[in-house]
Amino acid sequence: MLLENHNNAFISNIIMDSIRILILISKFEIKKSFKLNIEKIMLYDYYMKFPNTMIETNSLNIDIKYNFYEYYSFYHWKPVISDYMRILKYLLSKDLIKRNLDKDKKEYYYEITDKGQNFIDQLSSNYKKVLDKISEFVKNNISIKKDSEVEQEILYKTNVINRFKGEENGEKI
Amino acid sequence: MVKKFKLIKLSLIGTRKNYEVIFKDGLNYISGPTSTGKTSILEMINYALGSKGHKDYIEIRQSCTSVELELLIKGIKYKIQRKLFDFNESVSVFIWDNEKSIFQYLGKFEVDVPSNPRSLSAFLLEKMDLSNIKVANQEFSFRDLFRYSYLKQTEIDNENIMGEKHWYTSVKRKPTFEIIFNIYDDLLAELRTSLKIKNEELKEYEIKINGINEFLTNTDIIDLKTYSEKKEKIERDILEKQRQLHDIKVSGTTDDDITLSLQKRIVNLKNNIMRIEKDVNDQKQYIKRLMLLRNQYASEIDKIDFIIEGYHTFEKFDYVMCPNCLQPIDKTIDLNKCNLCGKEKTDVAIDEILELKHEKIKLTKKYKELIDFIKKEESNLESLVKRSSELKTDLYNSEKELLHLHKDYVNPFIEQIEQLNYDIGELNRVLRELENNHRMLVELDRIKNIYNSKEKDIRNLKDKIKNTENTATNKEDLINNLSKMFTSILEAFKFPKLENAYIDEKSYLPYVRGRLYRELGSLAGVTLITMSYYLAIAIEARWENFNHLGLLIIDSPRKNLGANSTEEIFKDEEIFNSIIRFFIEVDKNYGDDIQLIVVNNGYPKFLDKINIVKEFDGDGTKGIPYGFIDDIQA
Repeated sequence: MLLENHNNAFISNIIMDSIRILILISKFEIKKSFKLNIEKIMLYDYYMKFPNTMIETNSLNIDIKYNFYEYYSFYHWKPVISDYMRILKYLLSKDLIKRNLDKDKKEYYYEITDKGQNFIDQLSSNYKKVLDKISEFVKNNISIKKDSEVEQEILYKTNVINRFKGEENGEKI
Repeated sequence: MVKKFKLIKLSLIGTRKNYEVIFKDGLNYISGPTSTGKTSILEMINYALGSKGHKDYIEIRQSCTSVELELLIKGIKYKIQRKLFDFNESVSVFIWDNEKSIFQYLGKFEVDVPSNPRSLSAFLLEKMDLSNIKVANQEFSFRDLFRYSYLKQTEIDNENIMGEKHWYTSVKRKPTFEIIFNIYDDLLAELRTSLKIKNEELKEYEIKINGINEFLTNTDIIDLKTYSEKKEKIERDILEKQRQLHDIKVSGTTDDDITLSLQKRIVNLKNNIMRIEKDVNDQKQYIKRLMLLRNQYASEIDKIDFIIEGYHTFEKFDYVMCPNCLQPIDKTIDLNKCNLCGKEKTDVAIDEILELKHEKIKLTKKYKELIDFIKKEESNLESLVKRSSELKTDLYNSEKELLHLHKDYVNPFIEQIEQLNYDIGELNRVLRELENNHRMLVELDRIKNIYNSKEKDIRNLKDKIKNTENTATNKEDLINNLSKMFTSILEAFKFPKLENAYIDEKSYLPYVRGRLYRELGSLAGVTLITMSYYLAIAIEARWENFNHLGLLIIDSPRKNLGANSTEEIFKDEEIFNSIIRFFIEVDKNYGDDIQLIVVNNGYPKFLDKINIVKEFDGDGTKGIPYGFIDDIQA
């Protein structure tokens, strides 16, 4: 199946991952107190990829159903950093995002460019709208937490036992 | 002639056994060495007849609890039962029931003065027709009468016959003498008063009997026989009902065919429901997985849309930097060439996009098919749920039916059990009531006995009054006859130098050699005179119209006589032998009227063994008991 091979460098995968991450980055502004580095991007992207696992989706009013992909989401942790590097380089090469170096921490942080914002504005598919809502939720609720807490939450929620506590349309599965 | 007063049997009720003396008419001789219990036999008779107490005999204390004396008074048999060593305890009196051949309880009597109508003395006097008589301004007591019948070992030679020496002990001696011989002036008046009182008492008992009779008639029980029959019937009924109850409890189960098949049906239904419920759950899980797949399709279709849209948008944004090294790229003007490698543009992604589009079409088709399939599976689920619901309804109805059947079949048993339990309870209640009535019957019987006895007393009293009126005794003749008898007894006793012996007409005391008995200065003489005096009175008063008991108890007639005598003239063994010969004479001539009980250490060979009612040898070596209490281990 197409999406099972998402780690391979198919164009469709690059498109899927890069736009999702672009939408995520688009929500954050650079502040002194908050800088979106690759570590955060990887953590938050987990919410973007598996919203039914990580978020009470009913409260988000989004039309995204629990599926097999999510059902086996615990297989996907932990993410491969080189994949993310490649995606970010792709977005940078098209000038949709830009990166700055934090000299103290010696790491890059990312933000969207006007071109990137223009790119997003041109999208109108269902899934784009869903991702928009999820990224909004992540910005408001998840990014306020420490990275270690977020990682704990991911580990906790992808736990096999707790995974079955997840609900779909209010029904237990 | 009916015996006035006769002892039949004395029993000491013991802890190991009872000790008995059976008395006969005439002479009853009790023989044995000292400390064998001879005198205690007499003392026990005295105690049963209402003496204040008895000596503390060690053997009796160790072995006995009560004394029973059976006796005849004017032809009616009574039993007096008195506890030993418990002098204030009431005395129980029983009357012989000829029909049933048993003693019936008559009542309890106190050891008290005869003015107490519930005293033993009053009872015994009543039976002697001598109730309610006043002498010297005191109540005439049975004890006064009994003094003329009991010559104690200590009194046989005490020179003080019946306490005559002192005014306070002899005040009733003379009137008693007069009563015995019907020469008491006020006797008739007293007897008439007594008759009046008796009639009133009888009326009281009559009222009591009527009351109880009425009560018993109302309770449907007329007599003891009816009671026994009723009781037996009820006891039989209770047993029968208990048996029925047991049978029902053991065998009363609902093994009916309908019930059984229904029970089987219910079990089957429950199994079926269980299976269908499992199918329903499986189906739900299956549909849930189908839904997941459906969602998967939907989400992939969305994502394909997203990718195609993204691809075209990306196309609009050229590389500004090398995606590998992120170095700026020199812009070529030729839009038909790749701005990364400068070669002619070939759309490598177009195949993949096409493939995605095909995929989308395929998925959309599958998605629609899946939705149809899910609908079908959902309708399967619905029919399963419906079937399950039907089975549940069936089960509910079956259970209800079974319950109903159980109700129909079990209820009769429950009702029966309840009814039986109720019946048994009711029967037991009736039985208890019957037993209460039985107590009433027993009490009625007791009162009837008293009533009959009193009725008889009244008849006797009337006869007595008549007799007393008709046979006015001439006192002079009486004293003369008595004096003659007294003299002849002394003669029979071979009293030495016997002359001028008589009974004084004023003091009623014996005189020998013209002198008062106690002025002779001889204890042996006093013994003989005292015995003669008692015997003379008993013999002269033996007639029915006189009031002597017809009983004479003499303890140790040999006292001061024979080999041990301190007086030479009384050492002659022949004197003692002549006393015994006279006793034999009394037995022969007056045995029907006089019961003579004699206690002595030893007896002459000529005494017929038939007259010896008890004999002890003091050590048990002669093949006879060593004493009255004969089973105490040394």
